Amino acid sequence: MAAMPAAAAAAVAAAAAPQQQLDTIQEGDHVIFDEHGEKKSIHAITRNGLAKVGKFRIGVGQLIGAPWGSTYKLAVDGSRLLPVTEHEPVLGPAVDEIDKDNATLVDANQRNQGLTSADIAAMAASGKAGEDIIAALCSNSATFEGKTEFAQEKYKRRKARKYTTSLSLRRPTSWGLCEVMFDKAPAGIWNLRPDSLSLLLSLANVAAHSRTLLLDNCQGLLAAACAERMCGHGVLCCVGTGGKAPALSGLRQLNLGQQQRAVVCMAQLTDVQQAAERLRARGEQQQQQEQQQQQEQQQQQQQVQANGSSQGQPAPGNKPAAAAADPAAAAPMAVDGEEDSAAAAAGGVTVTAGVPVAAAAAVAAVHEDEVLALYDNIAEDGSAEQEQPKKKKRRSSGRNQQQQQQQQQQQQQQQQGEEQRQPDPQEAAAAVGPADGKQPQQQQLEQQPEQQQQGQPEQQAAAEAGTRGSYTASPEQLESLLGQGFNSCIIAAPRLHTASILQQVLPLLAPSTPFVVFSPWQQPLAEAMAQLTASKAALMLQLQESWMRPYQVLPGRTHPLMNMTTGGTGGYILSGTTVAPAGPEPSGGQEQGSAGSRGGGRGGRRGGKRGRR
Amino acid sequence: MVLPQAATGPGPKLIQEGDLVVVYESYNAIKAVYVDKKGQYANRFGNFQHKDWVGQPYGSRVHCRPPGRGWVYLLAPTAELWTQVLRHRTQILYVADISLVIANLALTPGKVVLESGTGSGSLTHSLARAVAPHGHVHTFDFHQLRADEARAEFDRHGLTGLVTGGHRNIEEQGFPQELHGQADAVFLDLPGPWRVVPSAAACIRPGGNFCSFSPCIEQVQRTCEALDQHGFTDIRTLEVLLRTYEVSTETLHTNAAQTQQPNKQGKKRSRGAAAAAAAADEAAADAAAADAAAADGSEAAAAAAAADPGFLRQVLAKPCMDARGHTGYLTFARRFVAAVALDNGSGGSSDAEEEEDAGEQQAGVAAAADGEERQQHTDSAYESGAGI
Repeated sequence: MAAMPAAAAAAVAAAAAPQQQLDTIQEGDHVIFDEHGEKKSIHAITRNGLAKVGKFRIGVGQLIGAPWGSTYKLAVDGSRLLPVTEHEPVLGPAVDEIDKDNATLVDANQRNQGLTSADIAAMAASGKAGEDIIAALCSNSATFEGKTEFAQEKYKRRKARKYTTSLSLRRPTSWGLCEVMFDKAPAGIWNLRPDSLSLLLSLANVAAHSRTLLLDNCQGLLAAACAERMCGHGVLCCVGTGGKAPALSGLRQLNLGQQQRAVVCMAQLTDVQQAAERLRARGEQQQQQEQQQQQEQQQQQQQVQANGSSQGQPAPGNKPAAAAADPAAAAPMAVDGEEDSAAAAAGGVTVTAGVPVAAAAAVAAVHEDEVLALYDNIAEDGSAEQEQPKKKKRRSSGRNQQQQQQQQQQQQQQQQGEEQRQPDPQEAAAAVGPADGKQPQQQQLEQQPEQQQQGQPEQQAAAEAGTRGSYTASPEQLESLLGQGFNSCIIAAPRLHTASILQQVLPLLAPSTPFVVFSPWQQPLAEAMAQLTASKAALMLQLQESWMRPYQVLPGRTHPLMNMTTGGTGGYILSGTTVAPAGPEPSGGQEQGSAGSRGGGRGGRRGGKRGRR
Repeated sequence: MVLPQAATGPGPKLIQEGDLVVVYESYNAIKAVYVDKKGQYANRFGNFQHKDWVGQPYGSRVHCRPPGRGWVYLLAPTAELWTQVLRHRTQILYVADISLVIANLALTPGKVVLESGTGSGSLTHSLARAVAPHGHVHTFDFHQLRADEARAEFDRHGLTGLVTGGHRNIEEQGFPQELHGQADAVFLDLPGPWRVVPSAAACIRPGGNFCSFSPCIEQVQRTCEALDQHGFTDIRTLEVLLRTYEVSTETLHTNAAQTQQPNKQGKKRSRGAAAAAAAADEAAADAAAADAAAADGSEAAAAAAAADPGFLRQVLAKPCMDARGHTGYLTFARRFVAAVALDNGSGGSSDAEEEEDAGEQQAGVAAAADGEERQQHTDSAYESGAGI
């Protein structure tokens, strides 16, 4: 490890500690059984459980302690699992010349084989290994010698499948779990194929520290896959609709530890929408108060100047100034409102990304200082704090913002004598205890390894209650989450009409958030895409389908697989990125062409795609 | 800044000086821009000052300085967006292959992955995202300049500590000794990956994953042979492509016997916003329905004629004419893991084929009757004991 940077080495060591992935199968783990690379199934390893492997039922309890990824061969009579301790090459040698053909081959079925099934059974009972039986079958076959080498190998492989059973024990991954589900009951996951699943995860930018909004109607497969990628960092909000809780069984099947499952919280869509509404209302209220304060402050200042100067200015003279300031401040908001109502009237999709109204107005204001002032005034839980307009400052990093927030709060304490909540830093580096009752909930949303070990009482209680670390998010948590902004969104609920659900979900996302929608049907996605393109509610819209083909690679016999084991379709994916609500435009703004769909790269301007201004 | 970050405060992420911003002009024009307080961005619509961008939330639409009247959107970078805007020093991997690689290499936070060659760093960003925050990516390129440029990009994007970019000819020298036994996964995009298989075998821990991307089938064959000879199992090769669809609202004529008029109407209306047209269609349909309901014979006939304009408008999707035919074959394999003898050989009994169903149900009952907490909580139909 000498050449590895110290930081990386330390990081690797640290990774081992909280997320110790043991190399052997433990009781309670789920394991993917891979038979010959052909048949895959998933099983829970319990002391007394049974599982069907090949033609036999075996006890899965004996697998406890087996190394992950190892392979066992079933004895011919199915009585024992024999460990495969050395790797043997399976690809045959390259064959240059093929001198035989099947011109004289007569398929006489069972008469071509000298051994009877009774003979074979006797051999099996006498403890002969599977390989010996196959050799015997070959030597007793009338047609074997006449086959080409390729055909001989194929024959041997077929017999091997029948008389020996090879079982590999694989660690479940999102790909492997999806493969099993796609193979056994694809309808349950709406024909979501593993390559489509992987594409969803990549396009939605799901990783550690994501704050993902997920509508999963695929038996919890998406939830499990997201949690796997997040590994305890970030928040995964599993949204249920119509009063039904989202399915989360996939979380167990991936052997996710408690810390990894801790990112999950559940909520009904209506709860999330109501939390967003409360946030918006508070933002509006706060902005009104601020405007009032600005006016009052300007009046005060001017009075002070008037009193201080030798030429006393009449007090009423201040009012025009204040009045002038007021419409100016109100103007951006008014224009904003007009745009929204205009959009509504046109019948297009009106989308405001989850930005508090205060911030939306700030977008309209070009002056960065005012923007920073507004953000600093919003406390962690989204409640407004009355605050003076701030002095000019440079752009702040996140840390500076925290410091300024604290400074302001100290100032405010002095001025108004009110008790202020001290915001807790939410950065990963900080590992602190709760400052007040609200903080544990805050920290639960963003679990860090260090914080986890300090003990989250609610978290542990939830886990012990058997809900395994997934719990229903409280209204305050939802507000906090919406305040920070979801930065990733996956919708895999094909029964929900796409355009309608996007109309409800997109406003809950932060601006510049990638979102993906999966459906086995193309039409609803296409209609949603057309609607979003017209309303300019999202950018970089794309409707795609993933096509995957496996190959057989053997010396002299390489070709794509004959049977499309990967199925004719893996479903369709609509992807896009949200945008912030548009501010007022300078008069006579120029049309730059559609801000919507992306064609196949070179697709020119399609007729009729001039977006609305 | 390219990877998802923990929230440092309420409110959306704001653009800061030094940030990488993806500037969106239109669906054909997106560019990477590093925000500099003195920087300027110019396109054919106008001139933009970077300092106008600082403090705006990502996802904002910003306007250029007068007298220009243009605008652009400022998007937050992701690994996918970076792949689309990065400067191509080599042929790169796109999201279809990248997503398959990440999934099949089972890359999750904390894993250690080796990559050769770095190329333009397209895949490297996705590898970094997958193993962040406490994993590591060791990436190598045999071209000094490219290795340096990639390293500079990693640093600029906040990936220092997560990605180590080296200059090394992996085909000739293999991976460095100190990485032996350290890797959870290895990815190769090289002309002769079979030469690196022995070194990869030394680096990958048992149970780890291997992947090689090759455009040519001959390369794939040689790589598979090498994998088979050097302790890799479960060798599989596949290819993946994305088919993109273009969506438009089209006018289709319902009455073939009718004359040219509907055409003109259709064309005029297609110039308006699709949404507005849809709303107008609905209004017309409603009006027509109301008319028909209230009318007597002649009025009904007239209304019917007015209600059937001879065409309808539909949202239609059609595959794009521009389509990728092939990028490369992806070959995956697993590092062999030696099995150990198991404690008790409590094997099962052999069932004849006819007893399969009965046997399964018995297994299901037996398993469920154990009272295992997890079996009881099984609500998935895919596990044993649930009648597979």
